[in-house]
Amino acid sequence: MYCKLCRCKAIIRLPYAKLSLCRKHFNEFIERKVLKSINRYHMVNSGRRVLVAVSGGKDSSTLLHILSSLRSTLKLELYGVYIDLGLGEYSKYSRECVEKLFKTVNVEYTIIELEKGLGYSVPKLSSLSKRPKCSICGLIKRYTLNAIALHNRIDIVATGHTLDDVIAYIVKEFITGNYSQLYKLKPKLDAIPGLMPSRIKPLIEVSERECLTYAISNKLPVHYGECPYSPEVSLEMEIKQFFNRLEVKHPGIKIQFLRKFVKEYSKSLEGSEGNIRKCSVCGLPSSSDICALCKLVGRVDGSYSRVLDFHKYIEGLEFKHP
Amino acid sequence: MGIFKVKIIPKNIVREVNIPGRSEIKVYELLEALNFVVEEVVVTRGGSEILTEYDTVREGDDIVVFLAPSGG
Repeated sequence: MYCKLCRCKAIIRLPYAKLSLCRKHFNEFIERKVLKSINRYHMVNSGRRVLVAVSGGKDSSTLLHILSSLRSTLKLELYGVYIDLGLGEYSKYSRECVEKLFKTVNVEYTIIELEKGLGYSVPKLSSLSKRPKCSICGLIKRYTLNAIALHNRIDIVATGHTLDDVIAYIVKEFITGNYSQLYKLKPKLDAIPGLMPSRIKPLIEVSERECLTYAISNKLPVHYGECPYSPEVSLEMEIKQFFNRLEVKHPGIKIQFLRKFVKEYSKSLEGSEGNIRKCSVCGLPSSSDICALCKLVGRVDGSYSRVLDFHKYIEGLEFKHP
Repeated sequence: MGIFKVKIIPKNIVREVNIPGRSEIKVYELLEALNFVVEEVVVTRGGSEILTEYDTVREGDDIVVFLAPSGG
C-alpha cells in the first residue's frame, strides 16, 4: 500500500479521510489536524504560557511533541510537568521516558514528587481513605496542575485527552446519569481569573490509534506498559471497543459523534463551572467551601497541614532547562 | 507450517496464530484471527516498521501488536 500523496510506502490507512499516508505525510497530517482543532475551538486565545501535563504514555507524549513543533506558529511559551504518583517501578520508568522527551523537544519542565510533597503516594492515600486509586489519582492530578499553574502564571493547561477518551466519557456520563460532569468534556474550559487556568484538549479530534502511530513512527520515548492499578474491565474500555468496531464499519462516526456533542451541548453547558470558588483552607479552586483534597486529607489525618505543606512544596518548585 | 508468533503490548504476552498451509498472510487476516479490529491496534515488524492491514507478514517475522486503547 502506498502513500496517496507521494507514492512512498504507507504506514497507515485512514478510511474516514480516504487517505493512506507514509510516515512524513502522516506526521504533517496529524500536526495540521491538531492546529485546526486549536483554531476551531479557540484554544489559545486566552494567553500564551501553556503547561503540558505529560504522564509518559503515548497520548500526552504525542501532545507535547506536536505542540513543540507548533510553538513558533502559535507563539506559545511551553512548559512541561510530570507528576510522580508513587506507583513504584511504573512511575520510575515513566519519569525516565518523560525526562528524555523534555530534552528531545527542549521544553522547560518540573517534576512533582507526591510522596515528597504530600507525604503520601496514591496507593497509600487510597488505602488510608478507602477510596479507589483511580479516583485519588484524578483528584491529585487536577489539584496539582491547578497549583502549579497558579504559582507560575500559566494561562493554559493542555492535557492529552484523545477523541476516544472524550467520546467514551460522554457515553459513560449519559449511561451513569452523571450529566453535571458533561461540561468537563468540552474541548476548552475557560479560565477563572486568579483561580484557575484555561484547560484545553488539543488531541480531541485525534484517535488513540493515530497517537500510537505518531509515537511509534517518531520513536518517542514512551512507556507502553499498563498502569499496575488499571482495572481488568471498565466501562470506558468497553465503550471504546464498541466505538472502534463501529468506526471500522462506519468510517468517521467517532468524529461525527464528538462534533455533534460539542455543537448541540456546548452552549447549554456554558457556565456549568460557574460555582467554582476558593477553598477556605488552601485557596485552590473548589466546588464547595473546602476542596476535595483538603477534605480527603483532613479525614485521613484529622488536620489539613499536609495539604498546606504540599502547597508550599509546589510553590518552591521551578521549571528547569532540559 | 503456518504458525505466526505475535507479541501483544501492553499485556506483554505472546500469542501463536495457526493458519495451516500458509507461510504468509495479510495483517488483516492476522488481526481477525486475534479478534482485533484495525482501529484499535498498530502492528509493527522488526521493531520499527509500521504495517498497514494490507501488508503481508511471514512465518518467523518479529511481529508486535500494540493495543491503542488506554486508561480504564
